[in-house]
Amino acid sequence: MVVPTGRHGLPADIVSEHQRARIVAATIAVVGAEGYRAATVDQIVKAAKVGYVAFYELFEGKEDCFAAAFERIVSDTRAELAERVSTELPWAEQIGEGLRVLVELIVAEPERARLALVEAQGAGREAYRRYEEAMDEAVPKLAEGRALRAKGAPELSVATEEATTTGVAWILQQMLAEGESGSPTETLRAATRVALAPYLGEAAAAKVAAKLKAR
Amino acid sequence: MSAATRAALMEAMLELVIERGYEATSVSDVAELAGVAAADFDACFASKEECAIAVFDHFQADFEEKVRGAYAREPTWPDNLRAASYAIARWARENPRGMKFGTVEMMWVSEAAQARRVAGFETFLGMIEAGRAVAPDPDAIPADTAGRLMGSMAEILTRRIQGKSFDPEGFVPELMALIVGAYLGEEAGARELAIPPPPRVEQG
Repeated sequence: MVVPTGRHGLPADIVSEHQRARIVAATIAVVGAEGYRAATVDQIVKAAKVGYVAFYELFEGKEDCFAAAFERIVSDTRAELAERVSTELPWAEQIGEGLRVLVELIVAEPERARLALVEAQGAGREAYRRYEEAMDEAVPKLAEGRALRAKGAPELSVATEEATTTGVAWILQQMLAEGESGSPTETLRAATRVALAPYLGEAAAAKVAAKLKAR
Repeated sequence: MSAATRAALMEAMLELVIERGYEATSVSDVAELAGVAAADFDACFASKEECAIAVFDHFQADFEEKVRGAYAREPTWPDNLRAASYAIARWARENPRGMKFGTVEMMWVSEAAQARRVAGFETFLGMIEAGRAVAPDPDAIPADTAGRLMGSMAEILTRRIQGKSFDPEGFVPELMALIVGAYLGEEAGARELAIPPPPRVEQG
């Protein structure tokens, strides 16, 4: 349901929920177009078609609405992953499917992806902390791979999972930068190899990756 | 405008950015801490940003010289990369404010500063990519491996440098394991974890 702009007789909390949603959407669009630094509350308010008073009742400023936009994107992504990746699948397939969901989300909504993967790193201390926290959410699932290794397998660096989250983020950022000229399927396979190779070895990781295709 | 004034202003900028962040640091704060008039700041730097970038460039030059020097002293890979890594750890130990400024604080100065910071990391791409020449199966290693590893190293270090008690030297084997593993295989990577640090040679 889209709440019309202007005066209406709806309950205040429903109105502010929808204004919040419009502001978050406008933040994504404006930051996508201008970058975080150049984006202004003025531009966001105009794009959201809300009043300044309404904006400042919901947010303290640009940093605050950016944080809300980031959290929105992260929670939507979490929900997509939970819905589309079955925990019944073997671990390696879960990782591959999860990465496929991420790549397809980037293809479908590149502005949201850019905000979460690129802008969040340059939007101040707090935004960077949130970005790190979001990436850390993947660590426990990745670390399940350690239990799958043969006894006597070579020791892994303690930073293995961090290298995967940051490495996959880098690969996804490259895909975003490439835009039209990028290949989602190639990106997906590269990211899957990076994620699986430390635990399964290069050959087995490549095998899982080769079966994946991004829509 | 003297070299001493410029140096005092840069030192003050460094001190204040470490203490309270770039955003909360004003030109007048910097001038006051340096013990000079605001007009003296304007004579040295066109803007707050220019001063911050000057601080970064100053550290980066020294950092690169030390790290490249260490790399050049070892003939083979990964020994040279390992030497460079320990040189980085040593530099971080001897220049904690410079390390924090360049790795963490520069991210929130400006877009130009961000680009400078990234370029600073990228000077070491070649040291990582040199692994391809000694890899058993170079064609199996994706073309963007060095870029990806460099990106990961930068983020992993940035995260740790923000914390209170990071031991860069203790972390070198962990990072070496990741890089060497990518080029020479998991056994070679794991061997890095067991290689002790070089003996500490304190310059007198």
